[in-house]
Amino acid sequence: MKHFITLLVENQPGVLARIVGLISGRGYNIETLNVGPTDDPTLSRMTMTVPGDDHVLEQVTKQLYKLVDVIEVTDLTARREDAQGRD
Amino acid sequence: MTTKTRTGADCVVEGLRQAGAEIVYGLPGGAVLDMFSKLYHAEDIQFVLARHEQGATHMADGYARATGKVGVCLVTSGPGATNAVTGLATAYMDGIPMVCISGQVPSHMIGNDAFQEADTTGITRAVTKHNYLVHRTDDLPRIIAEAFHIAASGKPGPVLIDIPKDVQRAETTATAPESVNLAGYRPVSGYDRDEVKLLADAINEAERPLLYTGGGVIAGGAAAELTALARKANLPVTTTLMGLGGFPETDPLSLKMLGMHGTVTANRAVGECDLLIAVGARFDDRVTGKISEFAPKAKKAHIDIDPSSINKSVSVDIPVCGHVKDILEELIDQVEPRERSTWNEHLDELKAQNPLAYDQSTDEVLPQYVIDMVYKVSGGEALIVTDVGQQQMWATHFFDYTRPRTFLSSGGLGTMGYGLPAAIGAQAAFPEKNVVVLAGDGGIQMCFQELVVAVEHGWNVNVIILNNGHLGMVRQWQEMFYDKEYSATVLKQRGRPANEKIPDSSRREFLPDFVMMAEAYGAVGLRVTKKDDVVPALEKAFSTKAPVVVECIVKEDENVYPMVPPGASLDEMICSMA
Ligand SMILES: Cc1ncc(C[n+]2csc(CCOP(=O)(O)OP(=O)(O)O)c2C)c(N)n1
Repeated sequence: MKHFITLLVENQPGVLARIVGLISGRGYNIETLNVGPTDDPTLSRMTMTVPGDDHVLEQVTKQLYKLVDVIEVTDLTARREDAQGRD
Repeated sequence: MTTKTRTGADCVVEGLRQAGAEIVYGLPGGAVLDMFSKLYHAEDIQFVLARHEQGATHMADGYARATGKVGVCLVTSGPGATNAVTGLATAYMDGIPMVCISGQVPSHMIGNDAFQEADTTGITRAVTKHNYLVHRTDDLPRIIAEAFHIAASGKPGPVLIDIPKDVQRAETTATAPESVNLAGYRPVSGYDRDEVKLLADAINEAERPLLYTGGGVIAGGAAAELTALARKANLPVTTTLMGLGGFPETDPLSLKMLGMHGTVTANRAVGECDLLIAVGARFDDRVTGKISEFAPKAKKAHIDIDPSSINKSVSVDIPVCGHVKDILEELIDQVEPRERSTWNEHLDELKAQNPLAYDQSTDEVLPQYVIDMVYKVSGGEALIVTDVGQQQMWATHFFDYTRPRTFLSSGGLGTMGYGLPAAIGAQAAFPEKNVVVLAGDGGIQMCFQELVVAVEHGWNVNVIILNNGHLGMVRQWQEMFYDKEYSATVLKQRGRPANEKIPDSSRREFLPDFVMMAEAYGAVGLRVTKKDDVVPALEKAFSTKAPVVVECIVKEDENVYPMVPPGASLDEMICSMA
């Protein structure tokens, strides 16, 4: 099972390394990763795919939330499946 | 109001002052000289010069554990910072509030492999709660305030601030904000009343409830509430290593520690309970043993301030996220007084049948005897700081801890070398307390050099070395699980395996001579080789107004029992080799 997670993070050096380090350091994998700007120049948006069951997702989400540079974590998986279902 | 112009280094001292830092532990170098030249004039902040940055970090950690305040250390770039990593990791694993300030090479040289450059924020990312590389002096006042806030709030932890030399020297008029406001950092506040109600109902219904409590009770200042809750509803209590002191072990409801070297009663209670209430504990593998068989009959509840700790290794039926103290207070109101005599009498019986014991009749000096005597001679009033290994586990068996912050030990990381510097850090905060280090002959050598700090400051730490001539705990694992092949665990000069042969092992039995080492550092050194001399030596040590090292030559092959073999379930305890 794949999870699509989107993050709103501080646009600062080291933030990407922190997030990738946290996920890989806890033994999880990132399949895709995309980073881009937002309307607010101090913030960036990251979207990633993380394979794993719901337990993995719960841990990844909670751990990401603990990072001081991470402002928002959203799991898009449900929405995405919904959209695909309707296609 | 016009704000004064001052340098980054000034801002650091100012920030420390605003945070209420009384003591800074550390060691200088080229990249931090600007801060040291400002500290020179800061007579209200005591600086304690460690002899190794690992020592400085453990001192800050010991100070934090003993006082509940944020410990502060200051180290230089490159090797100073890398030496601090072990201390940061130790504090991180145990949730200890700490701020570590490191110097960095000037901004324009970062990335050039400059002299004493290390990617300190990169290296410490995984062992800090948060870290900063400061790019602009204008940001420094805010960052220092944030660092102290992050270190102390939520689940506490170490925060590192890496400050390039030019940032320390440049000037600014910026000041710290009135209050810290971080969009991405919102430690849990409040709690869900419905969850607490659910838990209270579960407690009221439970026939065989068990409180399993950890370091969160101590960090959250909730020992009194825990005790009141347990007594009101007659809930037996077992604590983790980090939780020792959070509930009085002299109370009949105490089952003492659980887990790999926990008591038979505590581990059996886990297996038999119908409701397990984890309070500020994190289901560590040394506690749970085989996780799938942990508390198999129990409904599980978990009170914790850290949402990521809930459902991490064990999925729980009743999660309650929030401040332990507030939640326990509310629970006290909601639980009904109940005798639960069948359950508690059963546990009393188990306690009577399975006491923590050692051979009292032997004439040999058993390490357990020494620790037992430390407890008796100190009247149970000492602040105990352990190193890591067998002595650490016996310190949980033969002491009854009754108050928070009286037992300091590296739990999560299990850092050998922790004991002596942590004790010095604690003693700096409480010069009048009897601070006792329990250490093995292995671990004490990892930070022994810090003894001089105690001597020069007149901090009367008592260092009890249990010299069993081995890396004892590892030797025990080899005896039990590796065919008694004592590879790399014999510290004595004799008895080494062929590949570790020492050319002439007949010269001495033990090296180094700890008594001479103590004396070389200006401390008092005593050696005990006979059982009858243990108590007099301890009495002498505790009444001497100087740091004392008591080296006890103890029986070399004692094992810590009970023991749950690694990976086994808690009811597969081994209680003796026979
Ligand atoms: C820094 C570090 N290195 C290695 C270990 C692994 N280790 C755990 S206990 C132990 C033996 C400790 O021996 P000693 O200090 O003599 O204490 P004893 O077990 O004999 O009480 C070792 C090597 C560790 N915990 N920490």
